[in-house]
Amino acid sequence: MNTTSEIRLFGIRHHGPGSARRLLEALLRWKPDCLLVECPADGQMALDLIGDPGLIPPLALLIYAPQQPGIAAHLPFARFSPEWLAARYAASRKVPVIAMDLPWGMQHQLTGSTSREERNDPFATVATQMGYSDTERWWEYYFEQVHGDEDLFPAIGQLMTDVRTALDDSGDQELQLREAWMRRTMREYQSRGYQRIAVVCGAYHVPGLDLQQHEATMDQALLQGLDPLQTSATWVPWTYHNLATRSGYGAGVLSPAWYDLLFEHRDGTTIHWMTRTAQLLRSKGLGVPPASVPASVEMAEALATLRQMHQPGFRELEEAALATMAHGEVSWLEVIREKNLIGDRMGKVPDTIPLTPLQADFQAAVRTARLKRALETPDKVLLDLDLRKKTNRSASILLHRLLLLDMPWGTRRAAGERTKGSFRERWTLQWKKLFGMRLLEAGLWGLTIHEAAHRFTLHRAKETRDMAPISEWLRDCLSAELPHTSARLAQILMVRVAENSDILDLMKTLTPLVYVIQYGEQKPDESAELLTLIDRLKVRIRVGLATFFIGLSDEQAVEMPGRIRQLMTDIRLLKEEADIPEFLQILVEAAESDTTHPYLSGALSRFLLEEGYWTSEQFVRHLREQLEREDDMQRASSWCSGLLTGAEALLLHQPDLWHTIDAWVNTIPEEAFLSVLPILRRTFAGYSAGSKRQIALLLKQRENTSRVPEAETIQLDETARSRLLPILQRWLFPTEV
Amino acid sequence: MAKKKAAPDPSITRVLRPPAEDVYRHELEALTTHDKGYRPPQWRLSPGAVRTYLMGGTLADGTKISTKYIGHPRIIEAAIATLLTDRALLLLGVPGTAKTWVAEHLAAAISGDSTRLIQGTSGLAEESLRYSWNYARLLQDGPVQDALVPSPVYRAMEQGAIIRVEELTRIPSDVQDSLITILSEKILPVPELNTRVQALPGFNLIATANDRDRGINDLSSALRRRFNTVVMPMPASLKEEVQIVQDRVRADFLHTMKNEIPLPVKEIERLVTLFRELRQGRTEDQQEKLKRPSATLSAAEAISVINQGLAMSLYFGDGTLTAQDLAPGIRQAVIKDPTADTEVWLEYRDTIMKGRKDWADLYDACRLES
Repeated sequence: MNTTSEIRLFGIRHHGPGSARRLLEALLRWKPDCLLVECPADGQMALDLIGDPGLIPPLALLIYAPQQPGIAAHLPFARFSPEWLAARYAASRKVPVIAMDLPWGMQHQLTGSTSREERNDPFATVATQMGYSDTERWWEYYFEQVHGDEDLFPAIGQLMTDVRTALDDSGDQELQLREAWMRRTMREYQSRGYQRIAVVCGAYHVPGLDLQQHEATMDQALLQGLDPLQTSATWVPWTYHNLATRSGYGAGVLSPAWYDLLFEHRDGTTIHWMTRTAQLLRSKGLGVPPASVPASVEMAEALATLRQMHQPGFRELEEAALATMAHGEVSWLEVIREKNLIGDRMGKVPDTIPLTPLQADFQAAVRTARLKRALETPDKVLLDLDLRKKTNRSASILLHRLLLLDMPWGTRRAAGERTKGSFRERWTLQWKKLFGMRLLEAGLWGLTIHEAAHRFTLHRAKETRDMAPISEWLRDCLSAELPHTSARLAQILMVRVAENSDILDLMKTLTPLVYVIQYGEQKPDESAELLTLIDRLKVRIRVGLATFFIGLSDEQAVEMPGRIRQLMTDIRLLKEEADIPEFLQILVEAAESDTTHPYLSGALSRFLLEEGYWTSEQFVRHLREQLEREDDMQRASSWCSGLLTGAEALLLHQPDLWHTIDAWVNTIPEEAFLSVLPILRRTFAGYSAGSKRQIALLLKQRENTSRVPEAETIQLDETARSRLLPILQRWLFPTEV
Repeated sequence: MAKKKAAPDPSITRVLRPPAEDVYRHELEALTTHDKGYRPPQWRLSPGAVRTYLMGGTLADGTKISTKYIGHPRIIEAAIATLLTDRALLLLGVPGTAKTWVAEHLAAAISGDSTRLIQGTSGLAEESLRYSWNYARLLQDGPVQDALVPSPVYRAMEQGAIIRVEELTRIPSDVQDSLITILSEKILPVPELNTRVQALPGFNLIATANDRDRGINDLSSALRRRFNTVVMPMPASLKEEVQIVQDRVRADFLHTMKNEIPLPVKEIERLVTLFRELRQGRTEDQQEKLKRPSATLSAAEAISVINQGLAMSLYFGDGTLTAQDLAPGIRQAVIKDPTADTEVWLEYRDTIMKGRKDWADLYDACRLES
């Protein structure tokens, strides 16, 4: 052993801005000639790139197994991460930066998962026990204000020795192996002749890395026979949001933006944070007077005093901001957290950095599908696919999988027409920069597009409360050729159907499933499962439908006819003859009931006529009943509006309907006419110009011949008619008159 | 101080409802004795001890401090922290979230007197917030100090104490605004005498306002920023809410009865479950979505339903609270709007209640009721 060589252990808190600052100061003073950092050894190839000025944190060091998709680790770094600062410092001084930890390819085998996430930040444990909600503030108080600089790192080592003695982790095989590997690396660089070796590791490891306490031969024996998985490593851009929700290394960071602020401003952080929060709230439309900022600071400090803390932590800050600036409205807390605790900072990597496996898979898929041209232009590209051709088929699969990954590079043209029956698919493609970022994020879900789409879709399905989107994804899985995904989605839906009683959601869920059963090629057991699911949906809809029509708002009533049509189309497509009359019966009852919204009742009546369920006579009888409600003109006109919206063909070709409506319009007294006019105008506004002209022609004919159709028509006196006709003309031909 | 538990002093039962500082006098005294923390000027207790008084705890000599507020300590801490600052405290929440209760106990703990109170009404005049005159004296002696009748706010300023204003948003806006000078300048001018009252340190104001009244006489923005707002949440968990109802039923009702009757734990639990489910529009197991009635169905209403039921069972039954005693109260509490709420109620009764085996007696009682 080289006796002149010195090793110093710098125990840090992962992502601790206080640690980062102290560490940098210590390194600047001591000037080490070799830097070992706690990072899996197979991340070295990425670590070698750290000097590249194009790397802008937050970033994650991605280690993945090219042969085994699904096995990957993201080790995130923010600009306030001590390891990042130390490595950047070393790179700038041309000092070697070495990844000293057990390779990920081995750690993965030991645990089979990312179990290190489960181990808590030991500082957080200590801080919580001492009554601190914010570890960083605890750290500042105990290590930066009480101790002098020289004592800091030894003091942390001492604290951790005590913690580890109390915990007794000798049974933790992973920990033992990792520390043995780290010790071996330390000895190796010692023997290479480096004089001042700085070891930057999580403080927890400091006691375990004391070379005096561990025999080299023992470590060798421990590490013998390990066979690491082949891995590769690169950098990927990360976001503060990712950092807050999941973190591969040590404890997650709950409040990256707050840490960022603590890193940037050593003093006056409370005032800085409050000022930023006031600005944020103002930008969202909340009036925050400047005087509220000092009041907030005062309250945050009072809270800290009450909780016996030296300084306010982020919980005190957000509580104070809520009470003083946001009038106690908890919904603002979300806004504050999103921006000022988590933050929206995003990292960048230069083009020279190696591709991630998912990016590589994507590039390969794009080549196979011959879509490279569309990828390289920011313009819209129109695509006509013939699914019988192999390349076109793979393009369709890729585009559908990207849709599932929430990357709508392509959108299907001829919206609504899902012509699986034909072999054609028409797409509009437009690549956006955002998709590049999405692609990197999606790397979390898998190393191939196939796998990522599968996992991401299942994840989304488990997160969402509504059923309709799940059902749509299931349909997209058909074209994306993800049969396993759709089978799992069907299982998830099965559970949801039992819980959900929202008729609209149930109806929206049914449609895509009907499509799947029509065009999909399922194995017998899968299609049986789908049919059971559809059956349950059908039953729940049928049971709930009748009462659902009661008490709809105006907006809901306008939305309903389309939904009902879709529902009946779905029911017909399922080809179960017994269902159709049952559903129609419910609709008849709804159409005839007084509790149904009149607009919907009108629309249903027309539907029943079109369906041939009502004869022309039945319909006209019903029509007259509805229109002869002189007591309630509003209701009659709303009913009429429901009936006639989009029904130009019916109006022109059903003389009975024409005459009855015409006669009814004539009976409306003047004041009532003015009040129902807007409704009627809206109804006819949607008609095509041609239909409007024909209607006007018919009206004119009647005017010319002065033919008053049938006895049931009530005479309209001349003055009223002369007043009415110009009005009718104006809403039928707004431009021509 | 030989009592084991923090029970109210029996000598006080002569009045219907003694103020908090009388009921919990021995707790406040014990806290004062043990309080080592820094007391802001005119505060009877340190902020930490005020927190203990509200949240409960055990003192060094074993004195138990009862829990006044069941819920997250963060709410109480925010309230106390506000009173330490320059701003006044506004407790906002739907009816039955213990706003008044908390305000009363804070005033009792901080100033030793929770009776300085102004009840906000739509007819409240500015004089009630400032001062009025004894007209007999005024006519006889002219405008002299002795002819002035100070308002509770006036007195609180003089003494550096906490003043409570209940239902702040019921007070007409122009009258509300007369609080602005008092809260920002901490002075109350008396132009008739050419003097003014200057508040002593320790003066502050706790106002309560009903969330549902928002917009009736909403605070002007000038007044609003004299306040820190703490929103009182509905109890977070079933357990917490059951605890609140149990404690209050015990305190409100059972002590006034001569014969000791057991606390109807099971009935309280079912009733609170029922209220919570309807209020949240979701069953406790999160499985079923429900329609929500227009009623608030807070813990306070659950307490009154239980109390009413207990009275029924005591005076007209055998003293055991049964489902039959509760059913009328439940119906009254849930159905505020005869058409819409009835539909909601029947749906809940016939789907959720009916399906629960151990609710069979309650279901039957409710069915007979309507």
